Amino acid sequence: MTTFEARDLVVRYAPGTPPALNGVSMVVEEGAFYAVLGPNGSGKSTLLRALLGVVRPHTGEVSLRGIPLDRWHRRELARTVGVVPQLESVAFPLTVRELVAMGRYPHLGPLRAEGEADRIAIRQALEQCDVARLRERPITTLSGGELQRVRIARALAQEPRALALDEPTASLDIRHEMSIFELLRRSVDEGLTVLVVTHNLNIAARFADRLLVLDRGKVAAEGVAEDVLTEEVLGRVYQWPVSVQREQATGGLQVTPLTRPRP
Amino acid sequence: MIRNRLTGFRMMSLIRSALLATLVVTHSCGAPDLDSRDTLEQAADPLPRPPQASSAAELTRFPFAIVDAAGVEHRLSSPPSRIVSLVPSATETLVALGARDLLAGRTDHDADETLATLPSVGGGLHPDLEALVALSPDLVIRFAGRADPTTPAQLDRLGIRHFAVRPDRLNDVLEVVKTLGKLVGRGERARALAAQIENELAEVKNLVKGQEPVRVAYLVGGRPPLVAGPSSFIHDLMELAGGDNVFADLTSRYAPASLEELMARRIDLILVASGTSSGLPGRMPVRQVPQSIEIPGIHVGGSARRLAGIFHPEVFR
Amino acid sequence: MNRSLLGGLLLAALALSILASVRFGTVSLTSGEALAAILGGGDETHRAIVLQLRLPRALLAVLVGGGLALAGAVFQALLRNPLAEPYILGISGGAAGGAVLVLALGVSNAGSWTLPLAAFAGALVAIFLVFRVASAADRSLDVRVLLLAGVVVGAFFFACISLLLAISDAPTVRTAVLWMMGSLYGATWRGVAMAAAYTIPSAIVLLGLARALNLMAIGEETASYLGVNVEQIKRVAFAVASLVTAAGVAVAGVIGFVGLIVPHGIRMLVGSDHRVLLPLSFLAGAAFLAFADVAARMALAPGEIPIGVITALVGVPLFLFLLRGSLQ
Repeated sequence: MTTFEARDLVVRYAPGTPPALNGVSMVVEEGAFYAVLGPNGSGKSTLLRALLGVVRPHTGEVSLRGIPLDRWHRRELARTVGVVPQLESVAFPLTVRELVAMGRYPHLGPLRAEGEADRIAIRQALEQCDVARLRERPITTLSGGELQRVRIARALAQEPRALALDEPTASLDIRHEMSIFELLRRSVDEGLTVLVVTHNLNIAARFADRLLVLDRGKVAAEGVAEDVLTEEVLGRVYQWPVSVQREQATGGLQVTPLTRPRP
Repeated sequence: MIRNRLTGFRMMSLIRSALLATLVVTHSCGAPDLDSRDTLEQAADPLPRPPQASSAAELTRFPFAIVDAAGVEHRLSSPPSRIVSLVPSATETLVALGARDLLAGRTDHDADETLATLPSVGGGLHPDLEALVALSPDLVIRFAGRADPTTPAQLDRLGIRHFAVRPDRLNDVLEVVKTLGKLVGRGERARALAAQIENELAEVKNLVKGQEPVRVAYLVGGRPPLVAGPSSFIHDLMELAGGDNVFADLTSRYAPASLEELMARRIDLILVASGTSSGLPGRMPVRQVPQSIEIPGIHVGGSARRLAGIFHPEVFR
Repeated sequence: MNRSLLGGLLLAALALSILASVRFGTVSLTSGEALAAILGGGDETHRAIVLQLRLPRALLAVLVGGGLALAGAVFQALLRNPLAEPYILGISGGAAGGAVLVLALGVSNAGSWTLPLAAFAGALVAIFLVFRVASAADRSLDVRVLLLAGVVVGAFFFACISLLLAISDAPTVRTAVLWMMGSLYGATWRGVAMAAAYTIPSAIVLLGLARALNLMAIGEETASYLGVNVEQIKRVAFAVASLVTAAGVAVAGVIGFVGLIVPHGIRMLVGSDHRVLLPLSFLAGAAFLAFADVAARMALAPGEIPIGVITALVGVPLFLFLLRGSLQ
């Protein structure tokens, strides 16, 4: 079963401007750890938002679990996919538990009160993300890494079949970055589908089952790390020479930017 | 009533020149009731003495029906005994008719000292309903017209009879006197009082007969200045007293006039109520008159005489 | 501040404000006389004063004050703008425009039912225009576009009002100006019934949106990922809050500051969780306006101060005091 699927996707933000996505087709199978890579402005976040239905495609089709996206109800969608967007404002000082409890909205709607099942889901999400001890802390007092884990916990509290994350580890140090990707890996191992947009080629190579590299709105390469992360593809897409080596300690591919020869 | 109109118009010119919000503040700080200027100044003129009439002749037979200025027919089965008049000129008339004892309350704008002991209901427009109810009146006399549509509606709901009077024009004054007389069972006395006022007015008219009319304008104030047009009480009074209202061609009761217009109309005399600034250049022939001149009550004879004295001093020499 | 403590205090304040409204007036009654009148006994005059004048006024103040404060809190949440208020959004302008129009045309006289109806229609026209202008410019109902549309539509209505007043006669101007300052002078049981019919169901709907508003406060995109139909919630909340405002304006005229200051004050005390903020704003607005009306009736008795003046005179210093406290 496919989780996310896009066919010949064209997205244009304003008429007359070059399309942000120009004929992208891709499939994320259920249970996969899927990473979307690419330089700044290549259309990564746009692809994610189009797959989640907040950006309407100009032409092309998007479907979730085989059903066209426009036939999904918002609440049903939210019970299927948990999203950790790149940006959100902390509008008022909620506690960690209150923020995570918001993940129960698609199950409760506007009026129903939290029940036993909801409390269990919230507790499990807090524990999974290792933030249970922070539950009464106002989110305004958290560090960047803690806040990111709390937001993932909120998405997990939705009890979704899939997670979609937009740059979840941007501006995090290696310890927090690793702990988050290990959390995602564990979730995938437990049956969740994960779609992550990231800049970090090495960590994507190490954790993701399949990778997609976007270049100016088009798919430059798609497949397993060995097929996608080649010196030729990356050099062309990023317009910078790189070397790709297999790393001894982890066995993963290691991308190293080289020094560009002066003209 | 006239006072209210005038003050309303002063407000209007404010509206034109200021933001609404500013206006609201200006107004609310100024006075809780727009009719605060309705205060009767103690006029210098002596009260017209109503001639004594035989008590038998002036009794109105009850029950009887009478239509008020709002077009409502009232059937009175007995003479009212607890009257609250919201119209100061009507209150004054009732006192002059010897009906002081029938009054159960007053407004803040009644200057008559003999009324000072009565409880007040506040303004003549939007009176304090609680205070009014507490007086348990069997008749409330109110202004006709649209200045305060709420009060009659509330009085209806409270089951209190209200009688509308409209002292708008000079002729209305005599009509109001007669109507009020009938209402309180003093018809004969009211007819005598009306006749006396009519005589006073006729006397003034006679005095200025044959005199070249003085070209006058009555300024309500404001920027641009508002002037009295035809169909206003003050217009009637000025015309009677040997004046020629240069703004008799206006289509509304009061209207703004530009300074240019004021100069172009070759005005002999511009009357301004005392206490209001005319805002006119010094060279213009401005003359202050007491505010009481605007009151359409039983003193109109005196007011007319005063105006005639200003317009044609030679006649009174 | 503790939420349930504040809730309890506000409930007590509301009860107290209603008691005070019934107990105090320009005619002095003893508590016993007021109580007897409420129970349908005692002096007939006292019964008229308490049951026909004071009680409907108190209840109208509660409904209008609560409704305005609740609507203000919802507008502030929807537009994520602390200035959002019926006035800014053109709704008050529309209501005032409708009322002044029937006054100027002479359709409405002697306190007839057309005035509230026209105010209501005017408010609805304003809301419709604001939405049309906003969605013509931007389909997703962007906050800034909505605010801008509100300001523009409001300005247009106030220009129309100025024009109407400029060509109206003095009684109309007087009535219109007094009405625009807001007053509960015309309170009747029918007015109470009308205000209740609009305010109570609307308030229930708005309170039901609290959870969705909380989510939207984090970000509209995030809220939609959590299953909130953001546009639908916006439309419903906007329409219902406008309805509450229009009903309030229709029965009591334009009363400013309540919708702005009360929700702010409550937010400073208990934070922005709408599940707490919305009901407490309603309670506080209700008690505030009921007390303000007692002051409006008593301060210059037997004259009356426009209630909008009281809400501004009392509300602004109170607001500054709270602001100072929240900054320290």
